[in-house]
Amino acid sequence: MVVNRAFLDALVAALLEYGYRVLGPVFQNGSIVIDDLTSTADMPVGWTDEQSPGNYRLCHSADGQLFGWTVSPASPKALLFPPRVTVWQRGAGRDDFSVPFAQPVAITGATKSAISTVSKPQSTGSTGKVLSDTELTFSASGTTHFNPRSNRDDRHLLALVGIRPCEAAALEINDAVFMKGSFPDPFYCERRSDMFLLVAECASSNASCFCDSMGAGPGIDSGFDLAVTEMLDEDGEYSYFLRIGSQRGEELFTVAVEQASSIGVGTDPSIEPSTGMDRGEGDGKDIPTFVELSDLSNSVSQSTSMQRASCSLNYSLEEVLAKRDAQLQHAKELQVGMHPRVAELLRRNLDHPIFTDIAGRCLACGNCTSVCPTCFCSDVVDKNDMHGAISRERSWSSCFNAAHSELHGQPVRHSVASRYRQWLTHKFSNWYDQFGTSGCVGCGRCITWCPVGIDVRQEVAGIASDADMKGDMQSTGSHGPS
Amino acid sequence: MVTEKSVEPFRGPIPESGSRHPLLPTPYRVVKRVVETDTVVTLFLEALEGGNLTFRPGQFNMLTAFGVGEIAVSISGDPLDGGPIRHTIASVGAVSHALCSLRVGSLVGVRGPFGNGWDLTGVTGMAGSATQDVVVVAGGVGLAPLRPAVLELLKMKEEGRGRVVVLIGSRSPDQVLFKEELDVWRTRGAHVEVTVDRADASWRGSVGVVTSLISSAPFDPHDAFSLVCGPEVMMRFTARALLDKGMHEDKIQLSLERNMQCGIGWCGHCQLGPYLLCRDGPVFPYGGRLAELLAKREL
Repeated sequence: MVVNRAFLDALVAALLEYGYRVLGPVFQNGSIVIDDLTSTADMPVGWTDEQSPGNYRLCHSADGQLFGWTVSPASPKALLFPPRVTVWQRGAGRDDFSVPFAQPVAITGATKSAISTVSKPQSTGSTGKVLSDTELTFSASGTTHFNPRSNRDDRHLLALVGIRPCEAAALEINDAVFMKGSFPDPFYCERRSDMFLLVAECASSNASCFCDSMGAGPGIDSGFDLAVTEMLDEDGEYSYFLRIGSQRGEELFTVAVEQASSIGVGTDPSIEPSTGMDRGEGDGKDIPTFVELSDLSNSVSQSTSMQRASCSLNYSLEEVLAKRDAQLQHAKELQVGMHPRVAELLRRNLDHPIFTDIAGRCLACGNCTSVCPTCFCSDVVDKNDMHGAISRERSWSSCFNAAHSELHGQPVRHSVASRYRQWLTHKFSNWYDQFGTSGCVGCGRCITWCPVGIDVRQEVAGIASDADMKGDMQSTGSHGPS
Repeated sequence: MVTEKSVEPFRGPIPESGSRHPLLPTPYRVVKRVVETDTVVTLFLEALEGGNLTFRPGQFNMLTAFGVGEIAVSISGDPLDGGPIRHTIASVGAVSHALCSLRVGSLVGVRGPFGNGWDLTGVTGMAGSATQDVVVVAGGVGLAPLRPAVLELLKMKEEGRGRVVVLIGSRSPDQVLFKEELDVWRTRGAHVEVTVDRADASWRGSVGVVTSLISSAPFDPHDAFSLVCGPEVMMRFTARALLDKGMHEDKIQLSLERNMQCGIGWCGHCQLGPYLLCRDGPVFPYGGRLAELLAKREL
């Protein structure tokens, strides 16, 4: 159905009422970051971004657009895999030192909880309660640096509102690393398992975007609870085509409607969301579920908003879908894609001279790995104080550091060329072998945030044109290894 | 109203209740310490409670020297003797140095075992392959992860199976590991040869790289398999020498090494091209992609 911004507020309110910590894009310190939301007013209203290799600019207009920007430097990865966590700690003191694990008192939260149990987060019920300290699992005590100004970091129940399709795709890639292997990461699983996703499809692309060629956007067809597509009406107002992607998305939607209706204006009892499956998927579109457009001309209002929340329609479903398609098409057309056979190309060209050429420009600063929504390397390091207390910390690492590959005191990958090759081949080729998917979603952050503007698409295209000249690329396969 | 609602949990698995956090070490105590060479020490570890871990030959543990850090160390003990967990550690960095310096009674954090270990099904498996010869090639401290395999192979040999050939390369005579034990292996029927890079006046054996022992070693290359561990360059040349002798590339197993900081596939440090060594290895057959990968510099 088509809803207005006030209805999105009602959804956020419903999520908060369920006990979710609602996080989404927020304009802060001259950038768009992910932080706590209480309503859409916290979002970067009217902000658009301009991105290209090595360039990021935000522009503001009086426009009421919520999703005029494309992707922010912050990705949801940091919520599930924080830049720095304390894995376990052990207090100072001799006795303690001799038996670090036998004295739970001396061990701070992380170890204590990890020793006791990794308890399943309560299925939220209504309460959305914050688990008590003793119930807090490993993750709870890990120091999350993601959002230092919030003291609500310990809450596991997260709702991400307004993330992009490429970011939702990146979460699924992260799942393979931290949740689906033989050793699931408790911190990750606790947050991810119940995570609510309200995804905002992209109506536009920046010059760094290449999600279309990676199959990760600009639209989303699965892996979300709710999805919205922002559309400009004839009257200059923005409205949102809302789709439901899961049972709980549907539940949240119903609650939002109820909530809004209980506050004031009566609702049309015909607001009965139904899934596409129920209706036989007759539209032939590649959309798994959608809600029947019901005439909600009796729009519902919400007390907190000046505007009346509405699920309304002056559109026919066909019109809305056509408009969505046109927007997605527009976003795709703005993109320069990644080479379709990148995995095979890289595997065959490990000794390509382009890596040395790139190394002449690459600063090995690791910006690309920091902003990447899928990079997962971490260092595990012990920190001590003068009294003998130890904390073992796990923090983001980068394959651009020489120390990343250190073996017997020497890096395996001495040269920047070899480190760049490691990063590029891992993302676009070796990831298939390791996890069965590409490691890239085409969000373009590594291009935008590269201080010297190295563009992965261009570099791969360089390898491809050489390969074409040599005629050693047979026209087989697409992204995946053949 | 809203409070009666519930949202169904979905997506991934939650680690079982009561399971230990995968990064949390278990405390073990050093019950015996043997100085093998000037830089190599063997520690014998006993769990403080709950019994020692069980392992297969070629697997490794993550060992914590408290306050210094954690490293991957292969297990050098006999998997079947049920005694303390044995680790033979070369002092090459801060953590390994701290581990080598530990005294009896010290605490060590242990996580593991991790990795696939040696594939000994060639010997233990089908009756038809029961007479297969096994060539064990070790360079330096690479003998440590091979020791459990040799012990297991010798047991099989006592049951009438193929020959066990152990070829050891070492920098100098005083760097040879498990010297006394090598004689025990010989008396149990193994063909053990040692070569050193630099001999001293007392040395009566071969001098040269370990690959020079391969050509004259008594095994049938067409019906043998090989376990190799040592520096990467040594493994590469050993694999080539074995291939030249006629051994099939899939029957040559190498145990690889990279920086490992978690042992469980999270940290990303131990990548070698398509592999996460801790998760997919550390033992790989030389056939397939490995030969090509090892030939690349700085991969």
